[in-house]
Amino acid sequence: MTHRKNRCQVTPLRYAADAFVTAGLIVVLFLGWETWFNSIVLNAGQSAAASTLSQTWISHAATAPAGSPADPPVDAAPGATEPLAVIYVPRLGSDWERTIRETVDTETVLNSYDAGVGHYPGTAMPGGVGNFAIAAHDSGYGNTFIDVSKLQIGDAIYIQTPDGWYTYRFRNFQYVQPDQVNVLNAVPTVNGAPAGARLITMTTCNPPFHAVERLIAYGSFESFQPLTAGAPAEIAATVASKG
Amino acid sequence: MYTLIWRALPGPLWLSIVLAVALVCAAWFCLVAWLFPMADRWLYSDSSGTVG
Repeated sequence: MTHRKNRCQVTPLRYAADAFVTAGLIVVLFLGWETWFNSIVLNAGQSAAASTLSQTWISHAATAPAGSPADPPVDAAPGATEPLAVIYVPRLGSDWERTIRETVDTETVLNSYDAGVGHYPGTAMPGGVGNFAIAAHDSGYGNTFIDVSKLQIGDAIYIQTPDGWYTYRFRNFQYVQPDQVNVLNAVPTVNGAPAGARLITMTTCNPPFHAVERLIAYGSFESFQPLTAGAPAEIAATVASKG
Repeated sequence: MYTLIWRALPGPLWLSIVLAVALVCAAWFCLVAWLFPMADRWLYSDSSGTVG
């Protein structure tokens, strides 16, 4: 009773304390939304959008495009923010898939409800000779690449386009400063070297929930098969279950 | 809001004030810790750095 009486006598302090508590709760709720709930919502949305795009391309696949398993067709880059591929990485989850859009703009691609992965403009397209470079957040906005650090040598990275399935194999990691853009070169980290191999480079922030450096995952092209041949065996069941 | 929060705080007034200040300080610390990585992401465009 004494405490209650004291509280009634110190109204300005009570309101000040209440304002502090309210401000603190608002900040906590905001951070909870940004780092947790928002990612759950975007993860579901990005996955569903990728699945829809993948199935649309499969349903429209009529004839096999020109090209061979070792010399695949290469599409022209689409306009900014347009979808160009769907990426499947079984190591990131048996049903993990995302749409890849042109540009790595944060608001319209990486943070979007229906993409999550962006393609660095000017780098190679899927299957092309050179460096097919893509980016996604590690944490927040769908936690798209949060498990990239778990890749193991030889893990498959499947890229689906309207033409078919491009299979890359993970090769190695590199940790660099954010401004080290030569990881996007045709020959990563080598300036001026002519493109000679078909590579994939995935960039994301590191460590999770921080952005002081970048984690770079490199892979190399293995094979191509047209959509009409069906999905690669490792993800065939996953793709079929979405149809 | 006032009544609910205030009645939930335990102990005497001074303790409640301390708890309230500690809560808001912790919350703002977390906000700043979250903001710095976000600022880093916003700083680097696709021309000046890689993103992630």
